[in-house]
Amino acid sequence: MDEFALIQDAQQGDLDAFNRLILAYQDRVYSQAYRVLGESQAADDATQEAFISAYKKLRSFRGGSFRAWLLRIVTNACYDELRRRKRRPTTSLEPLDESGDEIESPHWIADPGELPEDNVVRAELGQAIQHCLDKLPTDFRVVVVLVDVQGMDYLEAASVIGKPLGTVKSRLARARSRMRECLQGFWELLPMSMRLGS
Amino acid sequence: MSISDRDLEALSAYLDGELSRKERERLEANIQADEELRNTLDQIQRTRTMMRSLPTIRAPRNYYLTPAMVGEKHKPRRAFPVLRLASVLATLLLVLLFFGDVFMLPNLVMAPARTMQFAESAVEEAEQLEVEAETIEGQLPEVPAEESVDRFEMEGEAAPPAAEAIISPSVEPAPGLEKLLATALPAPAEEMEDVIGGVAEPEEEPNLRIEMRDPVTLPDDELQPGINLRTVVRIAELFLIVVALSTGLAAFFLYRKYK
Repeated sequence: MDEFALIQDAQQGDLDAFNRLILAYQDRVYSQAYRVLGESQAADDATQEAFISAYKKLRSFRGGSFRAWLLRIVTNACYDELRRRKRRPTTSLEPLDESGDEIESPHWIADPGELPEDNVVRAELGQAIQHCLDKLPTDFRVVVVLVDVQGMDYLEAASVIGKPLGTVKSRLARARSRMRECLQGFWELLPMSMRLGS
Repeated sequence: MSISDRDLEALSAYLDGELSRKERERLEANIQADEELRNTLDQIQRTRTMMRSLPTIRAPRNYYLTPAMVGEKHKPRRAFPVLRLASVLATLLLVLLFFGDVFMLPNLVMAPARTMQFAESAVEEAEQLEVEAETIEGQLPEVPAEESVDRFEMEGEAAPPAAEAIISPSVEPAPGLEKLLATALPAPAEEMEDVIGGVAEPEEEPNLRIEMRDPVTLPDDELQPGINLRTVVRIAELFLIVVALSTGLAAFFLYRKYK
C-alpha cells in the first residue's frame, strides 16, 4: 500500500496503518533525534514521544512531505528535551581532565574490539562528527543535520524549522564553517581524501 | 583578505546548487581570482562530504504504537456517525409525529365521539316518540290497517310503511321521525275522528309500532381506535424524545472527547 493511502487510513484512526508508516520512518526519525540530542536514551524517548504526538496530530497533516512533517515533530521534541536539560542539568558522562573540563576527544568511548580497521576509522570519524555537532548551537545543529545528514533541500528544511529560506541558508553556512573548524582537531582521524587545509 | 559571513553563505549555497545563475557566475569569477576563497570552498566541501557520509542510525527498537499508548480503548470514532444519524432521525420523526398529533389526530379522535353524541340525541328523541305513540295509540279509534293506510294516501300524505319505523344508527334519524310524527301521531282525537268518520272498528290493531334497534351503541372495537391511537402516539413521542436526547448527547461527548 502506498504512503498516501496509509496516511489516509491512519487519519481515520487506523493504528495499524500508522504503525506501518512508523516502520518506514523510524530510522530517519531516530537518527534526527540522535544527531540533535547526541544521546541514545534521550533520542529514544524523543522518537517515541514524536510518534505518539504525530498520531494525535495526524488530522492536521494537510499533505506535502510526510517526512518533513515527521521531522518537524521530532525536532520540536528535541527542543523540548534540551529545554528540560537546561532547567535540570545532569552530570556529564564524558571524562574530565585535570582542570575539570570535559575531554573533547571522544576516543575514550570508542570500543574498537574486533572491528576491522576501516570500521574502526569510520566509527571514530562518526563519533568525531557527532562531537562537533554537539558543540554547535542547537539552531545551527538542527539545520545542518536536516540538510547534510537527512539530505533535505533548503525548502524542506525551512518547512521543518518553520523559518524563511534565508534563515536556513545563513544557519547552514555558519554551521558548516564551525564544523570545519572543529573537525580540524581530529586531523588524524580523517581519511587522506578528507583532510582539511591540504 | 578574510572570508566574510556573506562569502561563507554564498560558498555553502553554491555547493548545494541554491544560487541563481547570476550569483553563481559572479562567485565563480571571485573564486578564480581569490585563493583564500578557493581554499575555504574546498574545506567546506570536504566537511559537507564528511557530514553526508554519516550513516542513518538504525532505530534501537520498533516504535509501534498500541491503543493504550495513544489513549484509545476501542474505536469510538466509528460509533459517532451512527449515533449522530440516530439522533437526527429520531428528532425528525419526533417533529413529524408532533405535528401529526397537533393538527391531525384531534379530527381522527373526535369523529367517533361526534357520531356517538349525535346517536345519543337520536335515542332520546326516539324514546320520546315511542312514549307519545303509545299515548296516541290508546286514544285512536280502531281502524283496519288497510283502510287506514288508504286514507292516508288519499290525504296526500306520506304514510309510513305499515306504520313501522326502523331507527337505525344512521346520522339522519330525526327528520324521518319528525315526519312520521307530523303525519300520523300528533293529530288530536277530534280531528282524527273527522278524518276517519264512521269507519267500522277494525278487527285488528294498527301496527303502529316503532321498532327500536339499539342504534347508538357502537361496538367497543369501533370506539377504541381513537383512544388507543392517542396513547400510542404519546408513547411513541416519549420514546423518540428519549432516543434523540440520549444518542445526541452520546455523539456530542464522543466528539468532544476524541476530536
